[in-house]
Amino acid sequence: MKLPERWKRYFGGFYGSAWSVILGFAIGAIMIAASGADPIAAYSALIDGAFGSPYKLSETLAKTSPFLFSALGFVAGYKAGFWNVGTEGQILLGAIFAIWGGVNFGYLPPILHIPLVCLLGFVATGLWCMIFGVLKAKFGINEIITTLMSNYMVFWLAHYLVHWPWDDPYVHRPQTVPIAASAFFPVLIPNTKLHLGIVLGVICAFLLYLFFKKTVLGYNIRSVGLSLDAAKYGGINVVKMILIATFISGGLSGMAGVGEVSGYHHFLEDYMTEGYGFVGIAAAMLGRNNPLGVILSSLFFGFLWGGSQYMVRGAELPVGVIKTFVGIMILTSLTGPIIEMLKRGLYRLRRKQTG
Amino acid sequence: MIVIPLLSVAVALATPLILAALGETFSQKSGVINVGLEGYMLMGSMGGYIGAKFTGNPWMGVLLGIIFGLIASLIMAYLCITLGSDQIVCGIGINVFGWGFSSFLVRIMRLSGGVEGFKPIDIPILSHLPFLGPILFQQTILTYLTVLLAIILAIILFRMSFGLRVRAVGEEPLAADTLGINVKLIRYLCVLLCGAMAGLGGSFYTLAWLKEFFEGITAGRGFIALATVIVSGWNPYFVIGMCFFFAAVDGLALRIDILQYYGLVPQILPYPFFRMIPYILSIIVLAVRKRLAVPKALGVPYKKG
Repeated sequence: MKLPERWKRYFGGFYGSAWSVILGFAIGAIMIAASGADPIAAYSALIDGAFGSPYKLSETLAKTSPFLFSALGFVAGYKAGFWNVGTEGQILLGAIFAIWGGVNFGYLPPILHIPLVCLLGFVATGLWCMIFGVLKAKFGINEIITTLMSNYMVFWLAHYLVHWPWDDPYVHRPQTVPIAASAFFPVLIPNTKLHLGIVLGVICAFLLYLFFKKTVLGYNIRSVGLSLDAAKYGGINVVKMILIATFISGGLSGMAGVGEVSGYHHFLEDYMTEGYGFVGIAAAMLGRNNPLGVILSSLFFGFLWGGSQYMVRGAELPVGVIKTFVGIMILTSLTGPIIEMLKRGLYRLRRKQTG
Repeated sequence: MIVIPLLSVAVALATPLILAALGETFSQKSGVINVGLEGYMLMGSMGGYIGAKFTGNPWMGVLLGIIFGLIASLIMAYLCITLGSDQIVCGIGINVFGWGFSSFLVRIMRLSGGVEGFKPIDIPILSHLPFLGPILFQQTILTYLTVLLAIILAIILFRMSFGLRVRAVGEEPLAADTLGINVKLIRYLCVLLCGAMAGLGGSFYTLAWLKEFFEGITAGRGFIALATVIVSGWNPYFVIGMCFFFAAVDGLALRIDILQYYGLVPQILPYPFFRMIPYILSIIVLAVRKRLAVPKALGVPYKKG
């Protein structure tokens, strides 16, 4: 059957992603078997843990939300040629501002308080990310290094806030005071973990898609990402475009932290969002940097992250297996060229046989 | 004298940074940026712990640490050099993988508790020098080894034909290829060297510093090592100096309670602020030093025409 050209364009990248996922699961199975556990039992625990009951499914979706936001954040920067590898810290910064806004404006009704917290997280993190946009656009400093370093700056800031000024004196573990109930994201289905964040995330994904596809500003940003010199020659204000892209990029990543605080935990503790930013980058890569593809890949990582918690319990594996698994998935998402190599090898083999 | 223990800690903490950063210098000079330095170091510290725990011999730990660093860098080298994948994403993958895998392997082997590790060695005569003695000559064997390795690697990079090839491959891979240099082989060697060095550096934490293992033991030091390479403009001598400086700041953060006890640092500034300094400083230095001699082909996979 021959697929129409249009379909091919949409699903062309899909084969590569499917191959990465299958390879990742195969390597994971070998690793689990080598450690003495039963890979089939582990994987069935993983799937059951992610989709087994409405509650578990809601947890998977709740995990998807921060991954989706941080992946969208990465995509927004990537389109302008800005490698925002500081999403990890930006999520934490969004969470910090969500705590600040959530604790301090408790007298507001939810209808005002929730948007305020979201706006605060978005703008603050967007401005933070814009610093690195300025450094890149004005001074030509490589953003990969600066944003990587920014992760740990925010990490230690959060560590300070959690352990010293914002520490909850009534809880024995180091964690901040909880936010006011008026800043809680509404739960969509009662008695589950499904909160507003995932809906906002999907809306943002569609908006971002339309922004880059249909608006002049989005087109200009994309052209800066494709070729900086050509864009400059074409009369586009490159600095402005990079600043706008970094603002959106940081803001969306920050929203992941806002969602985690307002929708899920309602407080902040050490290592609460550890690894989410890097998973978001992986999701962006697996989704081929397409805002709509990212929805699917974030769902996949949400499934992996959420389900692994149950896999750890079900197959008696250590907790480290979750990050190992995610790491393997990031690495296998880069093995797309192997398919090309196999194809070329097959082609050569066939040619040899036919003469 | 509070300065002596502080500087002694700085010299010790600079050891793993210098090892990892020198490996990274080679790798970046050849055109491959290893963002996964943290992952290599975690693998190395895990290897060091397991080796020392099983055999009771810290040298087996060093060996296993290097081997685990090599394995991780081999993954990186295959994906980035042979397949030509994106080096940044690959490095992030290595970091996440190394982070999870190091704790996974230690837990699955049901290992816990401390290890023997290396003891500080007093070098005769020199260790009795006032001031310098306790700082420089009462360190573990790994620190002395690092000094030796640093000298050897700096000579290789600037005085030997292999170093010239490494630099050529990082600047103009096509020209180097035309002259008959095997670009991919040189890059493989450099990335593997980086993995081995970072693995050795990582094993320092479990064998000579903390003498135990826990998840994320390197706590972002791999990223500091990565920053030093770029901040120092890919010059191994500057790299060593910068590592000392960042290690001193790191040591300050570790010993901050002593300083606060003596009233040298106000109570309002707890250690997290000092842990931030290396990251902030590296960004500032990058902003101030306008013209850096970036290897031209850094981050660009080489594909034969």
